[in-house]
Amino acid sequence: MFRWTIKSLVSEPLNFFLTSLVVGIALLLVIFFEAVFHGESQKIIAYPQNINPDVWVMQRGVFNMHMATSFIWDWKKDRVEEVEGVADVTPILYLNSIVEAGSRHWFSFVVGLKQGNKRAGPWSMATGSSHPGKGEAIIPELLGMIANVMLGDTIRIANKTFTIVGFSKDTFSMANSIAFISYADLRDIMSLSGSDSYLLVDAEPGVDPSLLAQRIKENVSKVNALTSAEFIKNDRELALQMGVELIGIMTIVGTCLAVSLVIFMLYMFMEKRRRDIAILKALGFGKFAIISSAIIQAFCITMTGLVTAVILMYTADFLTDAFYPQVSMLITPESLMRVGLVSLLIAVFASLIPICQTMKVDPLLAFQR
Amino acid sequence: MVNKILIAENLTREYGSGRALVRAVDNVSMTVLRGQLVLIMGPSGSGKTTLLSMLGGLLRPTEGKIMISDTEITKLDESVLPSIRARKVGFIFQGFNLLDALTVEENILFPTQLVAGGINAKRARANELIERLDLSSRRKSLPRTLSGGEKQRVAIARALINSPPLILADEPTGNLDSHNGQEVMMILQNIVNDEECTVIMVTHDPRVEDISDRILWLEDGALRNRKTELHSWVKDPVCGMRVDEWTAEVFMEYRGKRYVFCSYRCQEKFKIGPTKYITS
Ligand SMILES: Nc1ncnc2c1ncn2[C@@H]1O[C@H](COP(=O)(O)OP(=O)(O)OP(=O)(O)O)[C@@H](O)[C@H]1O
Ligand SMILES: [Mg+2]
Repeated sequence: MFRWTIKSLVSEPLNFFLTSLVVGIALLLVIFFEAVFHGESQKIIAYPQNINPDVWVMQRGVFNMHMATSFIWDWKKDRVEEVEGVADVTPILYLNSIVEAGSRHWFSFVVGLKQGNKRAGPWSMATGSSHPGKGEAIIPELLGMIANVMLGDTIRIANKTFTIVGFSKDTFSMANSIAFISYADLRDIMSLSGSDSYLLVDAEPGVDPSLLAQRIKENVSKVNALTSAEFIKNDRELALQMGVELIGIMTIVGTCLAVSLVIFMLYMFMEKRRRDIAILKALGFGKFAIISSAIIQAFCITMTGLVTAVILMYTADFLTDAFYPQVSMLITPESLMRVGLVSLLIAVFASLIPICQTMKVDPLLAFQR
Repeated sequence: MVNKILIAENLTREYGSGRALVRAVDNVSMTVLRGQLVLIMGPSGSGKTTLLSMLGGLLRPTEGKIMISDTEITKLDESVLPSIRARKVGFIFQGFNLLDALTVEENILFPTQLVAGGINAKRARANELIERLDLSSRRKSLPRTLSGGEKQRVAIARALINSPPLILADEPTGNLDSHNGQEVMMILQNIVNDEECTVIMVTHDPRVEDISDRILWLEDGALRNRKTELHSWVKDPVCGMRVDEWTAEVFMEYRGKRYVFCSYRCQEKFKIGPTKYITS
């Protein structure tokens, strides 16, 4: 019986292949949205993740960077420097704003860098300078490619004109790119004097960052201090939260679509086997054997579909990297596991259909000519 | 050993209800002995297939009881009927009904999974049947590469593999040309003789009448005494062949007169230009 189950599954290879492919595409829907979303949220935390100081110091009540505003008086930098265990403090200005390049607009982190800063600027450069001077900007290489601007061209940030002096790598995302300008320029844009946005603190060797953060909070008034790990965690949570509903809906839509497609394909697949089932019944095979056979077939199709989906997913990942670098996908083992689990559930759920179908088949069908 | 292989008492099967009620089989009783070749004949729609499927435990009668070698199958639960079928009944269908994904040998051995010993216990028997039904060269072939006659021989081997006491065949030659049909009939007759099993066969083929032990004539679901004259021979107006008006499958009315044909092909020809064939 097992032999027949498998042989009849692949006896029409094209049919089997097409069924698995469609099931695979359906399951792909579930993985795809997740992967794009995870890739995107990974990009949103690119700045804190790559800059990675030991401790972030910010205005009290602020916990992260994305969609946040923070001001701290610049004299507090000196207070922080005095705290025991602090090796170095780098102040930055930071603004959520729009970069206008070509004729398009990009929502961006704009970071204002002090001259001669050691750690707050772009971490990987494609070309040009990594230290913006007055009236100069460093933008993501990909943004430059899409907007078709070169070194020396001008762009606008918060309605001020800047000349591009450098292209950075790893700083583009569809939802949130990162642009670097000089501290002085950003201070003018924000009409500030005497305050910074964040302080990036490096600890002395051997000093525990969480203890240091604690000490800074105790010794400097009205600031919040977080280890880099906590800060990134908060940012990631916020980024995920913002997309969670959308992605939740997409996943539900994708899953429903997948379930209906899988059910439909299994239904079509089993419809073709009605006569075979009638023969099995007439020959004297019982419910158990026939149902198990239907379940095994449904399971095989869904699992082949899952493998197809994973292959398609990696192909899509590769292709978008090559042709649409602005889309960043991240395929995490967890999301693969989750899709595996979802497809298992789909397989179980969808095999109810062939079970009902096989139960309904009248063995007298075998008497038809 | 039981000599009465099959006893049916007052079998009735109805389809539908109310005004749409059809009594496909109407109060049929019969007893069939071991080693008999019994024919069920009758016009189209007279309930032959319905009767046969009840005898094989595939369809429950509305009323009446059936005993197959001392087991009253009409009393049995739905869940045990399949195993009765597997051990006691072999089916041969007009449409062959082989499993397309399996080879000839696998098809023949397929029902052995349902009985004690399984495939290995029946290999010798399968080989013997393959030899006997002249299928040795097609052992590893898939059904779609076989001729109609070969397919039906595979189906016969499959029906025999578990040595059931009762073989039920519904127009086993219906899809075969006359040569292959004849051959299948010969095989079935030999089986009855050699294997001491019982064959109940629905057929329209008048040539089998001579080799059969009994003929049951079914009309409107009930067993009738057949008309005293066994046949009413008429001529197919197209090819001129002799056709039995009582059992003919293919017929039509034309200008108030009934015409009987040997095959659908002749009927089609007739439909295109009836006047060509009518010599009034
Ligand atoms: N599932 C069903 N539902 C309703 N009526 C049915 C059903 N099966 C058969 N019948 C009716 O029962 C009667 C007997 O049908 P059956 O198939 O047994 O005839 P038959 O003698 O085998 O005919 P044929 O020689 O054409 O095969 C017919 O009138 C048919 O229309
Ligand atoms: Mg019939």
